[in-house]
Amino acid sequence: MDEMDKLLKDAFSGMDDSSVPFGFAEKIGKKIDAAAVKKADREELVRNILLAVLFAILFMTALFFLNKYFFNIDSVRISGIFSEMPDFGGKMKTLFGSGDSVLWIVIGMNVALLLLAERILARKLSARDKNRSDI
Amino acid sequence: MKREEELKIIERILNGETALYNQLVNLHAPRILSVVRGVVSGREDAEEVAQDVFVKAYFSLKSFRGECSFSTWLFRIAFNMSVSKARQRRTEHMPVENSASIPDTSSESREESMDRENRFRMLYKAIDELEPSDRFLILSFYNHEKSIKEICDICGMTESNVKVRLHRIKKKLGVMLGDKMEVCYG
Repeated sequence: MDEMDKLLKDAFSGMDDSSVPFGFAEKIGKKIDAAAVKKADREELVRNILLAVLFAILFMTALFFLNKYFFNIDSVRISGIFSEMPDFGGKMKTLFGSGDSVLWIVIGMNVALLLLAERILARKLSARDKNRSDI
Repeated sequence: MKREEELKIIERILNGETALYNQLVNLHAPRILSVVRGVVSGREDAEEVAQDVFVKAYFSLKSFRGECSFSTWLFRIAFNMSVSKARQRRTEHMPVENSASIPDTSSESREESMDRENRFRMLYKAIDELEPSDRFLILSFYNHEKSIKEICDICGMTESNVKVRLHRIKKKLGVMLGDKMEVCYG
């Protein structure tokens, strides 16, 4: 150990400030709790986005197969679709006008309404919880 | 606290006994605060960074595999966070000498003591002019007595790199100190 090493050691011993401020650990605890909530929110958002993407893919795949095998649409020549499709109106009538279709449309609308009601309720409940925790 | 005990506590925290993390915070806070204060300017900012070090460590606890000591692992997080914070605020840096106290010189004569005091003041100024990462390195080595191997783990450098860098910093400080003495004493 040379003179510079000794000098540096002495200098740093004078600089050493290892005092812990009051409430340091509590502040860390609060930060951890806040970060955990934020992390959970972020994970939920990512999960929702992934679900939306998955459903979009499923929906698009379903549409693709419907187009290909029911409407006989050539997906490469998608422009001019309505003029080339034989009896478009008739096919739509068969698709949406039959008893089974109406049943499924009603079920779909009910599910959509239920989802909408669930989202509204969840928002209201979380807003109320937030207000309570602020108080 | 022994390393095995620390590993057991970490395991228990990971198994859901999160309140035990306070024990680790209380144990390591003084050293982390000390090293961060040496790099980041301003007491409040340094304390904020030190808190963030522990928060980050908490959420990364799963990735701690016990290859190095928990203290070295914390120092690594502190190194990354404090150096980046110091670089952000480099222009507003508060000199280290403001917060440093001159080591006790009671056994020396008045002249000797004044000379020593001046040397320390100049050394603090020189340290203050160093790059934040260099400050962290010499602080870990000289003040916290971290070994070269531990500094390698902290900074992610090879052993020879750390040795060369420490040698260069020492040399640089020597030159800076010499220049300042020359300016002061003519």
